[in-house]
Amino acid sequence: MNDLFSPIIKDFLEPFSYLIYSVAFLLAQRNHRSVHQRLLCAYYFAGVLLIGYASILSQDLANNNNWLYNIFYFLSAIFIGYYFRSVLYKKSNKNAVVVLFSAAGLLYLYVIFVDRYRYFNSYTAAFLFLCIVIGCLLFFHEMLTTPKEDNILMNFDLWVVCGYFMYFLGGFFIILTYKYFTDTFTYDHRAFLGQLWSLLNALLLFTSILTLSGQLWIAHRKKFPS
Amino acid sequence: MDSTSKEVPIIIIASLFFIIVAVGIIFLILVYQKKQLQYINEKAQMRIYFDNELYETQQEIQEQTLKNISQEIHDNIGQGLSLAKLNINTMDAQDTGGLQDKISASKHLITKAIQDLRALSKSLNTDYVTDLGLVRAVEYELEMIQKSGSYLVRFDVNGQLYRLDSKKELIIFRIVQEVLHNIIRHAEATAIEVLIVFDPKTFTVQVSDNGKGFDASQLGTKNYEGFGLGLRNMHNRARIIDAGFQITSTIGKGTTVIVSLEQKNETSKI
Repeated sequence: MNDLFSPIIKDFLEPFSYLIYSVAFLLAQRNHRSVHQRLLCAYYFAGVLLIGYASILSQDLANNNNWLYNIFYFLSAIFIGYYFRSVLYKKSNKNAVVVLFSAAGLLYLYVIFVDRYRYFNSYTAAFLFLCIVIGCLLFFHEMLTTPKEDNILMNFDLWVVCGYFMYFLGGFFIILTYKYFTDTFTYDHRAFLGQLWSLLNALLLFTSILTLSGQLWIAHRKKFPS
Repeated sequence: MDSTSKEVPIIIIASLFFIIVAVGIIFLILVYQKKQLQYINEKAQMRIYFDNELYETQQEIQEQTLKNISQEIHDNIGQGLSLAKLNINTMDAQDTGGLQDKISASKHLITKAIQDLRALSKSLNTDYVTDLGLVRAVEYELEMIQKSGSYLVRFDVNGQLYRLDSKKELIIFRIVQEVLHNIIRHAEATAIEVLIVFDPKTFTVQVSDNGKGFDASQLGTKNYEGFGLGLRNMHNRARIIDAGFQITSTIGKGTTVIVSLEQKNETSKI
């Protein structure tokens, strides 16, 4: 099974996907200057560094890279929470997002500074994934209740949120059960764990390419409106 | 493979299932949004069409009113004033009895001309249908026809009066005006009957004549070929205000046109 995913793909797919995301946001904020897109660009660039370093550390099994994931997920709660707060316009939805993502951020602060969890914290990560899925659903709800006359595919945020929805909903079960497997699996089972993480990373790569494609398509349509 | 490692494929299948669900939801949202946008655009197009029709209706009413005024001035006011002038010209100061009669006749003719002019001035107002209301506007239209002396006119109103939406009133009035115009031009009728029914659930206007009638069988299939633009316009206008438009005709016996409008609590009682 291990042959299915070469170690390079398995370990460096994640930082590479974040690099694609940061390029997509860099292009987006060049076309349409907005604070939330600039912040997400910085966030994904931080993701490349943090998860890239985590991937280097993972080459030696004696190293623990969970603290890097905890920091990255803490940043995710802050930046993606701010992103949803910016793209949603209903006050009630904005408040809901602030409450949910603040709770996720506080949980991660607890994990980082108090719990100092040695293993990957599945439940906190699953809660963060759930918050992002809820944010996506709120975005879709607003989109359906207030249709605009413009082509919706020209809205970059739609591409971003669609990517998030696929990744965070599709990866929810993997994240939720990851702790269970790390607790139950022996050293011989790590190939199966690798399989799970690889699926998550492949999904991340797909959604990052989708987001970048969306940005390139929007830029192309703006340049050559048919 | 032990039981723990068997759980991994289950998680992978569950995750794939969630990915498919996510893709499905996104697809449905995009399709729904597209349909919604299509619906909004169609609604906007309908609004533009309605506004255009309303504008055309107003123009036609104005045109018809000017024709009526011209005819009224020529046939009644002009005739009356000419007669008064003739009376004044032929007055003989020596004939005191005849003089009194001519003065009194001239006074009567001039008074009538003033009254007719006052009535006409009301119809010069472009919003006179909205100002007078549908019943009064139709009544005025019938009065004009009756004055010609060629028709026996009957006008009935049943039920508790209420006002319709002013735009709808305008369109219904124009349909009635067009029907009356068609009767005068083509029906060879001697009697015209208009009935307006203010039912709480349905508003109905029925215009009947005892003219020569025509074969209306093909109108059931909305085929207006050979009938000119008038009938098609009336039908289209009734449709844009969601009103029913029905024509029944018997050759040699006359024609009846019924316009009915369902009431959806948008009326105001008078």
